[in-house]
Amino acid sequence: MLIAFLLVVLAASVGAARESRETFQEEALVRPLPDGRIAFVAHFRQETSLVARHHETFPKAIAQIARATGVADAELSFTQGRWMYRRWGRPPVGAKPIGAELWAAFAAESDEVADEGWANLTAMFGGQFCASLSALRDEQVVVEPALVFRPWDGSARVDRDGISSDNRRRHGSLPAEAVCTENLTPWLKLLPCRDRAGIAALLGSRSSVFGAEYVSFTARVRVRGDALELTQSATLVVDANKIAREPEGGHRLTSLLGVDRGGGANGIRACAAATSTAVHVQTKGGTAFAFGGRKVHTAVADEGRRVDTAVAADEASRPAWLSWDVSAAEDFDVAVRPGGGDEGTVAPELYAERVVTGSGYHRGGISIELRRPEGSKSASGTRARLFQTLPWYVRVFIHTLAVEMDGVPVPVPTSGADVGANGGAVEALRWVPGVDRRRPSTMELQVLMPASASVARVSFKFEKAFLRISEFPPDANRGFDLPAALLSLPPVSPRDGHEFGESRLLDLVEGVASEVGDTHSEGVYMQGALLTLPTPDFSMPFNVTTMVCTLMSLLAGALLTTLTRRPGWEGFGKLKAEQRKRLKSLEKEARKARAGKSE
Amino acid sequence: MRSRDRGAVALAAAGVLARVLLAILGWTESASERLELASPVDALARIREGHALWGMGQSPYGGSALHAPPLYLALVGPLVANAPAGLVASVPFIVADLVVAVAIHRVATASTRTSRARGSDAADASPTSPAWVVAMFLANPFSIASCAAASSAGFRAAALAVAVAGAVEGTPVVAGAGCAALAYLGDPTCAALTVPSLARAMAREGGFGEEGTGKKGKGKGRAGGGARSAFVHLCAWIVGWIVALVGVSQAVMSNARAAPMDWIRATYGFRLVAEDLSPNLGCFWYFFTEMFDNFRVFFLFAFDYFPVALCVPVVVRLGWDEPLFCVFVARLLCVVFSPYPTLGDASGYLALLPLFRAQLAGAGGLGYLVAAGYVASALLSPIMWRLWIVDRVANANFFFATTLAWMATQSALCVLCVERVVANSRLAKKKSE
Repeated sequence: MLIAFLLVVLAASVGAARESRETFQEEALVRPLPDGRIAFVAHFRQETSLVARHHETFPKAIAQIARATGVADAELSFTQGRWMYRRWGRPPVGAKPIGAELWAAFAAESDEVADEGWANLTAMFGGQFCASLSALRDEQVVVEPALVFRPWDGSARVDRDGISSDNRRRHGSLPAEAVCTENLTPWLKLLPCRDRAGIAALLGSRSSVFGAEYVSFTARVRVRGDALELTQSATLVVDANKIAREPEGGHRLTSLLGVDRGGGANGIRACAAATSTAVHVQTKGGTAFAFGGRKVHTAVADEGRRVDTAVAADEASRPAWLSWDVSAAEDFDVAVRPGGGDEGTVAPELYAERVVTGSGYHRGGISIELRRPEGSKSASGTRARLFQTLPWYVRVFIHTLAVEMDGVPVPVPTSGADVGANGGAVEALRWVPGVDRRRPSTMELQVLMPASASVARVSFKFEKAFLRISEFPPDANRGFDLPAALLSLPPVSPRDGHEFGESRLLDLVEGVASEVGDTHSEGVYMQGALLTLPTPDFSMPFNVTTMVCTLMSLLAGALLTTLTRRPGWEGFGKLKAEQRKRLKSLEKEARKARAGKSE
Repeated sequence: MRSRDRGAVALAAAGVLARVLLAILGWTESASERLELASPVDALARIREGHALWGMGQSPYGGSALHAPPLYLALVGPLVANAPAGLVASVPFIVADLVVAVAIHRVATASTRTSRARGSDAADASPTSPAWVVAMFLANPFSIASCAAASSAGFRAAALAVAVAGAVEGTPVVAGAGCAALAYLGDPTCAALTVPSLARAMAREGGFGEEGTGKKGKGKGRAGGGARSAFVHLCAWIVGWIVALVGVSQAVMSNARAAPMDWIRATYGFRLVAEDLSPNLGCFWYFFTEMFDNFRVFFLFAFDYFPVALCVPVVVRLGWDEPLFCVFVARLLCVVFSPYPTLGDASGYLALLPLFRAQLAGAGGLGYLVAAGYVASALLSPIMWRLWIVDRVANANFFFATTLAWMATQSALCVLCVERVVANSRLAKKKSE
């Protein structure tokens, strides 16, 4: 009887779980880079119902955070190292700035509600990912982007009033955040199989993950109607030259990522909770071998060809995607031969570099250079949006903003010239000046780089503020990390023949809009910068207080003495003392005389 | 007498010529980057930033770049908008210095007249000739440099000089205008501290409040009545002028989407709390850089009200006999305890100093020492700044030492002057008895 009841309950709960339709897709991507390094991307997507009270595999913490903060869209990233655009080309799923970065959109009626949601979100994410994200609550680092971190199709239109009620965005970054395994472990814990099975098992070796030249892992929480989506992706760039090759001439993925424990059965075993598990390898000229994969198909190129265990794609003129569905695999591995040329890499539309100029402690400047890759052409010019937020102690003078195209200055809105009307290169400028100790400055600039121009330079000057001793970090003379600037480019057009919807990861890589009306503009982060601020002497508080207060009291004392002194009274005290002395001696004599008399 | 003045006229002309030449030669840009000459309140970069923000349709006080009052921005902003500020940009500053010159000339003339009318004897027989008073200001290197740097200190000096001139001539409208302008340009404390002395001067030197009575009152009660009525008139005019200035400012700012509190906080609140700790010659910046957060508010209060605490006894002691000297001391103390002083502010109070030549008699070698202190700290500060900020071979304490020397020098001048004036006024009283 009891067993029957339990069975009924079990069946009911299974039915309920099916109803919630939770999905978990995991994918991996391997791309050999030109200089012998190999980029590896792990991508996980979980979806559940926002209103579900019970989750089967979806992390409960994330669902609770999403419900509690009223967040519509939020992305958190942890990054170590820098993506080398010039060497490695465009990153598969977008590179992130060094340190931690969080941006979020709130469906909030007012800014206060959004601020409260942001405060909750930073606190909860900080707790969830063991990061000092609560520092992002501080109004000194939060900004509200209006042009970037928004869908943009590359048109000239600037929607200045785009801050509608359901679209309040906040952005904050911690460039000095030290990313470590304590951030990665909770990130992996959000996955149903953690790092025990599936694609995530490839991230099992922390020393390989954090030994990579570039490592970035992101978590994006998104609410769409009733659906709650958690997308996690990790990007690693590993140096294949340090790892032993397979006899066939490639590198096994497991040994690249340091999870090859030797012996058999150490390849990828699909996570039981996954609805789909896939591995994609991009090759051109290089070779990929698959071991143990059940089913192999090429996703994009060469539909007619199906190769079972080894594919040689070198005859294909363009990079091809080789995809394996490994959802039923027990022991799958793939070997990749690192590329030697420029195969597989596509240069971004513009390279962006930022440098801090000037010497000395007091004044400086920032120069941002946008350079078109050699040989690339654009018929109609390139539109880009620049996002630069600087802490308040960098006092930017917006009137020094100068934009040059191939060395020729173009009018900027600060000079009072009417730009935009005459198709000027600077189409929009949004400037939120910084406020001391309260608000960072934000600059958002939309630039149209004509097809004829190859270099655009945006520069401005600033003055460094002098901080109080309590405002300096412990190692004051190391300098202050400036947040990376972001260059936002229109989404790239997908390659011919890309089939939309076959794989989320490949859609992302190809820059295909995942939903109608939601175009992902491509972000190119510039490197962070270190700014040295003038330091006071940290050992001086008592000395300074003493010296200044001594001077003040000297002044006050001298002044009041001067005002109150009366020359006529100068000898008065002395005179009195003398008189008193004489009186005493007289008294003594008198006493003596009296004593003599009485005798 | 005329031959003595010829040298003064030549000196004054040379001073004006130097200002024009510096402006033509384009020294404005580099001079305005000197922290001794331009503070966060009036540095050209800040004014330009405010002007640019205004031009972009934003509130110039939206960030913390601008701390100058709106009318100053409206006047100077368009002139200095383009990067190499030419001769035109310097015109208001040269005019301000000329206003100072005219005002102190009138003050000197008036005080010579009154001292003659009182029939003073040998000690007052040779008061400074007005031409030399003017020459001492126009040829003062501090005021020339400050003018070249387009510093607002020239305007403050002009406001103070106009207030004194108005008082001496017995016109509360002008004195009130000067006082209100000084308050508006960022030093309300100083303006308030000078009011009683100005009222007394107006009654004593300007003869305000005496015409109505018909007879020349000599008694104290009579004069006290004159001072009281002068005080009331002066206060009324100051309030009137301030209301007018604030009203016009707000009218000017209304098209820039700036609320009244925005610019009031940015201009006046900013000085009280000393938010910007950029080094200058004052004693605030390093003190509040180093100060522990718990005591910040206490010391801000102490520093802001220290000039008041020192000025009141001076006015009580000397306000009756030497009202103009009390104005000078009030300005001096306010400059010493100002968060953003410049050399121009020093030249502003030094402009009044030659007026008291008779009262200061007998300072002797100490006066020389104080003058040397001024020169030494003015020369040391660029050197220390360079060592610390540009070459990075020294640290902040080097520059702090300069500011200490500067503060000590000004304090010494204050004490020395007060001491001489007290002694001389006592001497004069004894003689008249």
